[in-house]
Amino acid sequence: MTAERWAQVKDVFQQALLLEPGKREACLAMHCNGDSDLLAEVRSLLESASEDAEILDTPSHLPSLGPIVHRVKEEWSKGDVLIGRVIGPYRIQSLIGEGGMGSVYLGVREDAEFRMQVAIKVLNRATSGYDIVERFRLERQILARLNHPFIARIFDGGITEDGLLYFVMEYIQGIPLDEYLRRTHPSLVERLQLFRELCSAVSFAHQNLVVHSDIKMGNILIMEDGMPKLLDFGISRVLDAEGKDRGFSDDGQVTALTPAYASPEQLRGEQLNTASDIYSLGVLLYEMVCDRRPYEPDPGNPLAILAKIAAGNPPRPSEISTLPGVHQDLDAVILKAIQPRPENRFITANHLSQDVSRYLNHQPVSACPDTALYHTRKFLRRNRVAVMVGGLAVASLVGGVVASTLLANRAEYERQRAEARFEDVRQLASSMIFELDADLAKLPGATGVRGKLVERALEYLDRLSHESGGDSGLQRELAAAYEKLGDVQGRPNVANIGNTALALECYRKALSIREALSDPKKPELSNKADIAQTYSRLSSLHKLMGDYQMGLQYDRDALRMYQEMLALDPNSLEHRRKVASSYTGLGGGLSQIGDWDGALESRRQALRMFEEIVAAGSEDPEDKRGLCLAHRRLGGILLMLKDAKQAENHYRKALSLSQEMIRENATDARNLNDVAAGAIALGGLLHENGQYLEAMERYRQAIQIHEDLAAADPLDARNRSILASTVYRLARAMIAAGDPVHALPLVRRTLDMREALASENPMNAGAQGEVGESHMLIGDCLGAMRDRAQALASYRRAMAIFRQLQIEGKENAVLEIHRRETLEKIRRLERS
Amino acid sequence: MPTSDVTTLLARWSSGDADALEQLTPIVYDELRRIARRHLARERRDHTLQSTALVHEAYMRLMGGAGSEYHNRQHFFAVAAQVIRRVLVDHARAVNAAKRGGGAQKIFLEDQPEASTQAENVAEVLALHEALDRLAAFDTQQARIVELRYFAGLSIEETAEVVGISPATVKRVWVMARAWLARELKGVSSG
Repeated sequence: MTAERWAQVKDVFQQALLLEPGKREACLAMHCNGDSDLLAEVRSLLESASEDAEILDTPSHLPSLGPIVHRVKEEWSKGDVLIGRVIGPYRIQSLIGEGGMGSVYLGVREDAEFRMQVAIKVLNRATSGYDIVERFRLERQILARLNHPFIARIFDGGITEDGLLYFVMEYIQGIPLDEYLRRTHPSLVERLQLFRELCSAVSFAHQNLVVHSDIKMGNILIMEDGMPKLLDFGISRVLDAEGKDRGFSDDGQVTALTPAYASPEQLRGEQLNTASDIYSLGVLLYEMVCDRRPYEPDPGNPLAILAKIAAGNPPRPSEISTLPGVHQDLDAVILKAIQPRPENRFITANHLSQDVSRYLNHQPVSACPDTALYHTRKFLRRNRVAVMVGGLAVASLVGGVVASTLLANRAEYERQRAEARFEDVRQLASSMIFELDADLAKLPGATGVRGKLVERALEYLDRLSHESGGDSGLQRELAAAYEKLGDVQGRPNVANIGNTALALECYRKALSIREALSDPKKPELSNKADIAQTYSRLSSLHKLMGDYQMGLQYDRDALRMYQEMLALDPNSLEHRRKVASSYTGLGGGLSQIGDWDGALESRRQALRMFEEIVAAGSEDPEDKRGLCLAHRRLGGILLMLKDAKQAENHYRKALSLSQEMIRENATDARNLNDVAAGAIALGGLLHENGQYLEAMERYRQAIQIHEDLAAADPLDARNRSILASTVYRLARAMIAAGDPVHALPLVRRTLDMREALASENPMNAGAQGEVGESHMLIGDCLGAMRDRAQALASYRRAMAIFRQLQIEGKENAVLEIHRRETLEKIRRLERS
Repeated sequence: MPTSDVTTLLARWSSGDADALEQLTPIVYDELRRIARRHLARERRDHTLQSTALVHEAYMRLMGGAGSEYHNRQHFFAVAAQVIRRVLVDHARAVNAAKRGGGAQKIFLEDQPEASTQAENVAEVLALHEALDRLAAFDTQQARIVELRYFAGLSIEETAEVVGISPATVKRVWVMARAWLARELKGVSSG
């Protein structure tokens, strides 16, 4: 066709197109004027056009570009494009490997001084950018601490200019574990030893609050010297910000995870914790022993594996392994690690490793699921090793008195029948937890011992729980033990070792056991009380982590539960006391979200109830303590609401109550704490009144008490935190009194203390905020000393922390005030 | 590549400098590729992305502030449409060649449940490309409108703006070009 001819066709076609289809023929006849070729051409085009004239934008006769565009994009996304490019200070040299999530490159850092090889993992999915970089920045400190011989270090991370997320890691020359096993055929003993090394790496990371969540053969490299290196630790944590991509995508496709290694809870998309890693370790051990995974995918039905994982009934390793030396006890260990329910697995990677070690040493394993008879037979044969070593180790910590008790018990064991031993061990464990711990709690300096004691006792209980079957009594004890362990690990407001993550896990375990025990048809007061108590624990923990709404929710749950109990038994002093304490807790929750009126009401209610209890003649020192706290807390709210007179009233009452208590019992660390708290509260009031020197005096009294307590128990994080805050208050009063020069070293000291506390427990949002608070006060100090530039720098440091907490949703009412004030101060200085 | 360079190249190209197009093509190509990687990473199994999103994003990135100028916008989209067409056709040819060699077949069977539609689609895209070349021989403007609408995914209005004619005219031309192409391609899809 020529252009001229086409112009004719076009002309006629477009004329005809303007007309109704019925009227077109006449128009064609007229315009074609006897040119039959032209007529045929236009007719044919009109016919073709009429077939899809309705839909202008989706031409049905033209191919859809969707699939081919997609293919092209896939082609484009392949790795090679990055080679030669520069990411951060690293130049990408070559592709090391490619996987489902991304590609790994060899990168080289070429500075003037040194040349360093690194592995750079580039994820082939984009991120929401800012969020994830921020998150990485937060995690970096934690990841940097993961300094363990079997963990590959992560140095850096960020976003490429194409928006791809990358991590810079230690470059490891090694081969993946599966390939290593195929090539070298190690013996069972060698495999188990290798596995224990991996457990030590995982355990180390868990202690540093990092969960791996993608442990698998491919993530483990074996180096030339036979040492393993676990890769990608902590990456999942950073990625979890976009939690959707874990497990299954919306259309049911398996995405990031390797389902064969993923725990049931992980596949359900639940919160990841150490128990999921234990599960993956179990799958790994299974594969190292059996040369296959517990659950193999069915090619015809890819989703069938999920049902198998949930059912948790894989072939026993001893039946399918071709390695010599695999016996039923090893089955027990492996299968315990891959129990579908997290609470049935080993509590820690260390416990798993220890059981493997017991197997290696031909000792009975804790995981053995056999009958009580079997187990007690093992006890009989080996009780010195399996039972008493642990007990004695603890005994030596606690001291002579306890040791002799244990020895007496041991003599007792040897005379008794096998079944009775079981009961004894159980009672011993309980007594270690409840009686000894209660005594130790009153001794300053016992926090570390308590942690070990309770942990060890828990081991016993956990081991015994397997033989308990439906023994609800033991379940109850187990729940109580978990709660106790949680207390020691990180219960806020009492002496604890500041491991919030472990505490949270313990409380959750306790709650789930207790909830399972509760029977709605038969409301049982004691179980309700237990559940309510766990709610309170969870509340304070969530508040500590900066999740104030969740904390408040648990406050309300606890109050509701106690009110139900009081309704069932209105004469119970105990229930009344609990309801009163719950009002105090709820008041705290409400004040943290800035609901001052609600907090005031709730604290008045708490005070009223405690006054009633004490007026009714209660002799229990706990009630006096409750009343003292109620006064102090009400005073705090009143001060916040600028009612200084009323506040002082309540503060003085609190102080005199605590002084009364300390006269009654001077060794109870809690009484000392109460006196100090009273002094601090009054100091705050005096400060508000402008009586700075008097305030400073009160603070010094409190500091003296807390310094004594800190010297007695250096592990007690709570005490150190109060000490830091009191020094902070003292410094603030000094600045107000016009002495910034002497205040400055004090504030710097609080900064050191608070930074240490915050880095010990990164989940403690309050501690992060306090670091910001100290920076802010340093700013005030320097400002008062007319050092504008340095003051501004300090305010900016404070601001960065406050902003961060705000972004993470961990800001409470006080932090919000701090943030606004700091911003205001920065602006003022910038203007001046 | 700074925006100003892209702008200069576009200006040179529009004033008849063929070399400028040669220099522009790889820039636009790289940018499209970068954007595609990001899209792919984000959307998983989504086939709905069309070149529209690619082109618009590339435009925003490459042209930035200079993009508001009317003639820049025109020229950019024209280049982008050509680049996309070229990329898709190259890809289709590569797939075709691999299929004849037998090498790619396995990959299709394993990766791509819709392997047969894929193969068909490749043939169609090639046929369309050839038909479009024939159309351009006697009606350059119509071929260009098809390129903008079809490969770059521009709307009627956007196409009108780039070509510099009224939307109503674009609509009429589009109907006709589509009718003509549909007739040309009938042989491919049914046989």
